[in-house]
Amino acid sequence: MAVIYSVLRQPLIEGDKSLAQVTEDVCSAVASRPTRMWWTAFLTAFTVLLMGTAAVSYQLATGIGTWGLNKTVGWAFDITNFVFWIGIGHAGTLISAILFLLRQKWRTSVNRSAEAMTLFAVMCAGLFPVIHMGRPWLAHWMFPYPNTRGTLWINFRSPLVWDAFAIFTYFTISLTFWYVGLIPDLATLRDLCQSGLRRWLYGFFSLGWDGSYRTWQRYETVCTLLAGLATPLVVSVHTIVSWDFATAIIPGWHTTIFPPYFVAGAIFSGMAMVLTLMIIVRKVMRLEKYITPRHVDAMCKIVAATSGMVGLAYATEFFTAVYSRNPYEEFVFLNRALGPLAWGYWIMVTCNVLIPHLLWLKKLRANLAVVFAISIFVDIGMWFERFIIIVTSLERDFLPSSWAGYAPTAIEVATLVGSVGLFFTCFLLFCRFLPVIAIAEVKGVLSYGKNTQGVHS
Amino acid sequence: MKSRVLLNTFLLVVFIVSVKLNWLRPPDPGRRNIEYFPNMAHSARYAAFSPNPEFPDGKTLQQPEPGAIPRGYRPVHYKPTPEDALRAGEELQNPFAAAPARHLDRGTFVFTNFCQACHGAGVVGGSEGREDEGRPNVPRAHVRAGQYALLRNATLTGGPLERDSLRALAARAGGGASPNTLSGATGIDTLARRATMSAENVKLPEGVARPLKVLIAVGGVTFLAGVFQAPQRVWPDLLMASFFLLGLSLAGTFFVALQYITGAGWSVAFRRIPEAMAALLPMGAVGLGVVLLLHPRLYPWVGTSAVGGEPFRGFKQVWLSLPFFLARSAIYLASWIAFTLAIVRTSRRQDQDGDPSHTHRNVRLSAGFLVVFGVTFTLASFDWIMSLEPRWYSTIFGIYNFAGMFLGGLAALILLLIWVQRLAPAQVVVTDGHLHDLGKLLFAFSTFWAYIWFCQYMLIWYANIPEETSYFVQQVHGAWGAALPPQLAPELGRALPGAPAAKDPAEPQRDGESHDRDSGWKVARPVFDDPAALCGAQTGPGGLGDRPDGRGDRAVRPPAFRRPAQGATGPLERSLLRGKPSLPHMIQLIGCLKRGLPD
Amino acid sequence: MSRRLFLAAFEREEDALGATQASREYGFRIVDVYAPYAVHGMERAMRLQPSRLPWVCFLLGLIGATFKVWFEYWTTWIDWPLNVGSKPWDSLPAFVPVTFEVMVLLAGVSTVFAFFLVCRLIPGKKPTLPIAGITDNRFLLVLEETDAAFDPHRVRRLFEEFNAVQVEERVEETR
Repeated sequence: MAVIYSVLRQPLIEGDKSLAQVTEDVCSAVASRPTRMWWTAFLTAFTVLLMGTAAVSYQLATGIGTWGLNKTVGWAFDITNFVFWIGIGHAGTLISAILFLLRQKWRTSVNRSAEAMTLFAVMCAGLFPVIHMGRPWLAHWMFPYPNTRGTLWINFRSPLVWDAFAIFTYFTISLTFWYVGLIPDLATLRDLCQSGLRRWLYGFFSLGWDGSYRTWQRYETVCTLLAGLATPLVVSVHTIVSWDFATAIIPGWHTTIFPPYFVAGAIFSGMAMVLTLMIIVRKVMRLEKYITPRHVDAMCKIVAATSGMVGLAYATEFFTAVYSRNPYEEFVFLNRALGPLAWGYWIMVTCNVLIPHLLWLKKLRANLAVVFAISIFVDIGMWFERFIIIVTSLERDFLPSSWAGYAPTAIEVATLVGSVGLFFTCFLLFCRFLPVIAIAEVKGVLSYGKNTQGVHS
Repeated sequence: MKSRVLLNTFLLVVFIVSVKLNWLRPPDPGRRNIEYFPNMAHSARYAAFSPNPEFPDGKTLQQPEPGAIPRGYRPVHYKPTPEDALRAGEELQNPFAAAPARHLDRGTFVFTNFCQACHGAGVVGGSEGREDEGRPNVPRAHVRAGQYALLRNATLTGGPLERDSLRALAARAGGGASPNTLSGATGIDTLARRATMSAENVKLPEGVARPLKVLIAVGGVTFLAGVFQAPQRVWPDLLMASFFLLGLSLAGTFFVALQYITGAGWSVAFRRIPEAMAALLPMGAVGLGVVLLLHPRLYPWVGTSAVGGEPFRGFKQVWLSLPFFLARSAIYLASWIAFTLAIVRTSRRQDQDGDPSHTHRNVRLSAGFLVVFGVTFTLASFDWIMSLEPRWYSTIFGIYNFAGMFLGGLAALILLLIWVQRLAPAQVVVTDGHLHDLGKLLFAFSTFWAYIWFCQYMLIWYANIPEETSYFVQQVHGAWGAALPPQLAPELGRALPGAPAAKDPAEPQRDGESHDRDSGWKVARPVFDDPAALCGAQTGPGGLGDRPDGRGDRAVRPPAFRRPAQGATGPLERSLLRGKPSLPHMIQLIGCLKRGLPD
Repeated sequence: MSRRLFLAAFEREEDALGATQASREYGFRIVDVYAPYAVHGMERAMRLQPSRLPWVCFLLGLIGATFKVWFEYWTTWIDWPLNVGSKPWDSLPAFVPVTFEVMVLLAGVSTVFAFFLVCRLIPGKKPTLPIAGITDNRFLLVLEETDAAFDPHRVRRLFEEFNAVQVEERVEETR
């Protein structure tokens, strides 16, 4: 049978892999003993996590006074980190859900890791609203349950309550989607493993999957439904997060463009983090044939496009501020560019608007070292964007007599670094015990770009 | 074994050392222990005379600021009685001179903007104060705008837009490549080689063309009459109609650009239609030009830079000055037309020689267009629409207009596609799958538009600042208020998950009809906010719960699969069709061809 | 009661798909097809009825949304109205986000649970793989002998035509 290779469409998986080879390539990392590189990375991440845990424990015991917050600047590192991690999580859902609905087959190589990344990022994010409460042990008061205080219900009109519901829903649905996608792969692992605890665990969580097509049909339906649910969910979650700010009245925060701007920014930062992780994973786990330069290329294009959207949003905000003739609005933007935090603002603009546009050049997209460096810059830039938005508007708002500065304490920095440690610890554990590539989905697209003639008649 | 001994020794040493250290640092009874989960039962405050590192002099109790008044000190010796109040009014002098009028104006504006929401207008001597269920001067969601909260031009009416769009459609129903014929061979190769869509054979039937021409004439006459009789209605109408037309055409270019830049193959079969839509750009530009050049007074800021009180200064004065405004408008229109021409021309050229380099060129052009479009369309919507109410602003306005424009354009695209298919069924190679995909795109953008609308509305509602709420006050109350729910209903109704899938997916769905109804309402709804008095149909195209590929053999629409003839694609795109992953669509096509449909 | 089953294992999805379609055309009764991944067009070849799970999703989402809106109205308007920022009691725009989230949550979780129930996927369930390699690289077609007219030789020929790598006859006890 003749095999036709299309001129414009290349095969997704290089190297003419067979089904068994796919299984072996992906499962070998899970089956074998962890390498020295893994141990080094894991121990580093775990140490950092422990350091963060120590900082957080001290802060929970002593109080929020250990942070550098004051009456004027009531939110700084805590909410910046929260929004940053949630934003990173969004790319995973984009890849799994939105690209699924758009039938982009290239997503199959990266979607499992991206969804795992989402889960861990949401876990890191969820940490911050809890620890930034004065009394985190009363966090359960955020949910409406009949109680002896009246019954005192929650304030459904508050964006902070919307946040609580949104993060909870997002975590649950992401977990569900990720787990449902894992079931066939867990079955594959179960059948590969020899007897033992591993086999029992994989067997337990694969729910007795046997590959029956009646189940596959329903499985596909469920995946489509979940993708259809997750798409508006991901948009709504970051919209609600942006409403934490936009429903206030201070200039720089109260602006209608925040929802789509934050969503675009979230996809931007998340996709950069996916690139960071995938470039490392493909090299270390020898999956270059699965996560090909074509995949990296597609992800880079998404990064470049969202960078454009974010840049456009910056420009629109600035233009509208000047157009509005509202002196408070004008001042906020002057303050951002020229005030005490100007250094952060210019880092943000450079990393978010100037550097990513290098990715328009095909040659640079093909150079993975450059892409890796750019992705790190984007991560940093997006952290600064959230920081600048939050702190500049708070530190200098309507009344000059209330103006105050802000400087982070060691505890806050340690908490941020600790959250990075948590993220990488979880991700490394994931790489160790679960397949980083969606085996079943990749098998389904092996024939993409290679058509055999007269097959489906 | 040895490592375990070492480990144990190490741990023992650590234990002993830590015990010793604790012993050496005895507990300090003066220092409070660490308390976990303190419930704010005791606050760690400084006592008045304890040392304090926060202040430069190290003391907690600080000297009062110069000029501070001690408690109980009465600087003016009046008691809080009505008699003493009257006496104070006579005896005391205001140390400040009388304020000039512009300060009072400014004060009134600031008060209205920031304070009126809570304190009511009655305090300043404006309109009556309000009692609201026993809560005086408490803001409600729908604040009545004071005189300084300018409303949108209330004379804007919803014009007969569908007529305009059909007029535009009628004017350009055609234009395309030369026809070839298919010699009856089957197989995907032949299909791919010869699959194109001829637009020359697609002529508007006389039965449709004549009434449309009549409508054009009627429109023209009405407009001319209106210029003299009711200019305050007719000029905004023309502005709106031109903007809508521009939006539809831009949506065509945007769609084509988007498909190029994502490397999509599914839309290639009908790409001529959005290209044809884009050809309307000069028409919209002419309409807009007529308004901007002949009746710029439509914009309140023309001729005077003082709108409702304070004059504009600085940037806004420069920005909202007629020559600059006109120059900007010309730049926007010119750039859109230039890009569209370039993209469409390259696409047509590819018909002749099938060179892959045309695709690459168009991908680059599309990327450039999208960047330029983003900036120019945002600024254009600010300029042409938002400056109708110069004191109001909203950063999402550009995106909002874009959402409406693309939604309307997508709907128009679907309508046109179905219509052209019915007019020339032999020429159009479009399958159920295409319509499905377009339907899903329509659904997605419908939801997107509703989301953007809600963002703007919710934020302005929530903060309740009169400077911003002026935009919605007129829309939500009065005559327009009744028209709002029907405008939103189709959009908000889509929010339910799987709603379109509520129909049993197994039943054959006549996609054309549901698309027709659905898209018709979308197109007729104007691009920006004037509500049209239409009821949205709740039907929708195949839902999210619908498997994209599982419906092939049931709902084949006979007209779609007659002998496919010429059209839009060069040989390169045909090979794209070959490599297209969605094989079931091709299966249907081949199946129908194999069935040997009549010539 | 026992039934005779014919199993055929294939190495490639095209073969499995073709064999399934051919079996349908010949009128054989397909018990099931096993695959390591979801093959495009297989459910059409097997003439499987579309799943009714979207109904579950839609209904539960509707119920979730309705309940949540009612609950928000009841708590903020009837049970204990609190004046927060002078928002009106019927502040529907402010109720939308939570309603939407709860709707998505309920719809998603219930769909997945329904899926597990319907497909009998239970944690710890022992899988019954008819042959080894289904989750790796083998496709399996299982036919049932329905009546005496069932011709095993024709079946074998059909399987060979589609490059079956393993053909088996089995007798299964059904209770």
